[in-house]
Amino acid sequence: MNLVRQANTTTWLSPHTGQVWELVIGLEVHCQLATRSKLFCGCAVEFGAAPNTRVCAVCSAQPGSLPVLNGEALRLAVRAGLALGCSIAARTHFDRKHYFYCDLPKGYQISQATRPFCTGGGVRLRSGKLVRLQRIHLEEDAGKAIHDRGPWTLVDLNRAGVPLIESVTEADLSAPEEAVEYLTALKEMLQHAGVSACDMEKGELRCDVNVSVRKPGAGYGTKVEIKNLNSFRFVAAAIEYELQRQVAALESGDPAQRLVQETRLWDTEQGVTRSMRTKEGAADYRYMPEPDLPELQLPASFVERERSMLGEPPAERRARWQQQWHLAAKDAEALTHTRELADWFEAAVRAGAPPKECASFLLNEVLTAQPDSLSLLLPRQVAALVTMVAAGEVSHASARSVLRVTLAEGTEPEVVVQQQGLRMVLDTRQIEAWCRQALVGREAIIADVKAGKVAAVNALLGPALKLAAGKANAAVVRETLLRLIAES
Amino acid sequence: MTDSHSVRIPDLRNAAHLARLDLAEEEAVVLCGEVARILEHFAALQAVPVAGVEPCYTAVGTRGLPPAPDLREDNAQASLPRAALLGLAPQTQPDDEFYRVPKAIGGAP
Repeated sequence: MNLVRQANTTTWLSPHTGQVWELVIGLEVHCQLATRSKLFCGCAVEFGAAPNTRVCAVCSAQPGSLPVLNGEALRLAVRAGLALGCSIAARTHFDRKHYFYCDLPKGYQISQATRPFCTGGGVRLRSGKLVRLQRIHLEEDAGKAIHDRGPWTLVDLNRAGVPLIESVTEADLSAPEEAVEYLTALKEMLQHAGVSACDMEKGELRCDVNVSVRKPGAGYGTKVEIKNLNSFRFVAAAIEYELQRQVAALESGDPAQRLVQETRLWDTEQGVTRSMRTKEGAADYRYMPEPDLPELQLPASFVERERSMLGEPPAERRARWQQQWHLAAKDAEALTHTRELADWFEAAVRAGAPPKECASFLLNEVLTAQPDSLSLLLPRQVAALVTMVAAGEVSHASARSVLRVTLAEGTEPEVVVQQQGLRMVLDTRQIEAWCRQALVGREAIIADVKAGKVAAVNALLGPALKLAAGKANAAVVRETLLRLIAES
Repeated sequence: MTDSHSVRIPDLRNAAHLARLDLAEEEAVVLCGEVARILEHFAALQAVPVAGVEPCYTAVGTRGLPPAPDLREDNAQASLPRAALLGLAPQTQPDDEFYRVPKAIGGAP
């Protein structure tokens, strides 16, 4: 089956039947909150720690142990909801979700079923389409089961009890690239709000995809869930694969290929999805209110405090920079890569740096100099340097060497410029003196320029700049040479 | 009342399966009667008029924030020694780093 995407649409044409198909996609994203300790106990959250060394009576479900909610996890969950425009519930509680698996020592996961912290909200795509959120709730992660080391399944509970938020969209997405754009925006908003580092290599952001196909205007088709995708590329590939598979199955009319509601796994090696299990009816998790934790009331002051921590959403920040400061879209994008970098850049501009020049200097010189450049510099130091360059007082080449010294020794840029005598000569009479000297004995060139071959003056540029020992601006020297020739 | 709260064997078996309980045929018959009697008690509870009464979600009540005696500061504390934890599991061998459980491929339900 090779469906053909119809130009500028989110519909696909089947070459065999002439039928048009569309995709219906919803996403469930688990995101690990940036806390130091677990959700209901004090064990450290630490990626890469030795197995089963961040485990206590609570997260290994010893009898008699009781959960106590981590206040920071609650704050971050609320902040995530605010960043995504959700309504925050004034009253909320936790539920037990029951299932049996070796990575879940209690036999239930503490999650939220009927009253999540956040409902509504959404993420707007560049096309203007709003991807609506159904809900965001807070829950604990399970442990890790390893199946490929000998005759036993091995279990590590370091991850059991780590705080997660799960955000669930409505089935509003209709193409693989829309899913990727949504995920990219979601990740960026959560990072900028300080909710999560969203490091996908550490499993801090994991995605389940619900996908079905239908004829335009028809009701929803049978959906499958693809679980635990840990890269946006795999999300797009899995959706693309399911589109082809589901349409082929529907068009074949073959009862053996009949679509069933099921959970599938993405096989990274083969680039296919595989059936994991067929759901015998709806999964019966036997939710019940968690009796060991109180119902929570969130006062308005608690919610407002988190709102004040949000900062400007990255997309709005980029738009503002482009409008107010005329930054190139590419530079604005690069400078909002992290909240830290974006804040740093703004601080430098507030310290007086011209924004465009500052953006370019940060991206091309500072960030490429060494990996930890930003932590070794102060925004006002870069502001001072960029301002001198923009005013023509320091050449680009000199600025680069000043930056090296400031990075290595912490010396203020103005002091380095002073000590190394890097300040450009702006005195017109001095520049004229160098130019007159460069003109001596070059009558042939002077005649050429006078005859209209302006480019001939370039041969004098080198000697003049050499006399100035690099402390004169090339453009100014050229202007001066041309003026002197014209006057002679 | 007993009629409306009779329990069918397949429903009982499904509930037992979800709780990973193995039921012999004769146990199932006995339990059907017992569970039906439990449901009768719930029927008595359900007969209480609660229209307009705010639901009570937890037995421990509602806590406001702040002050919040039930929120923990986000400070990492020492975990338990691994040997002590793993020692509680039946299959643990000396120097194990992981819990050993019977092979369980296929993922959570």
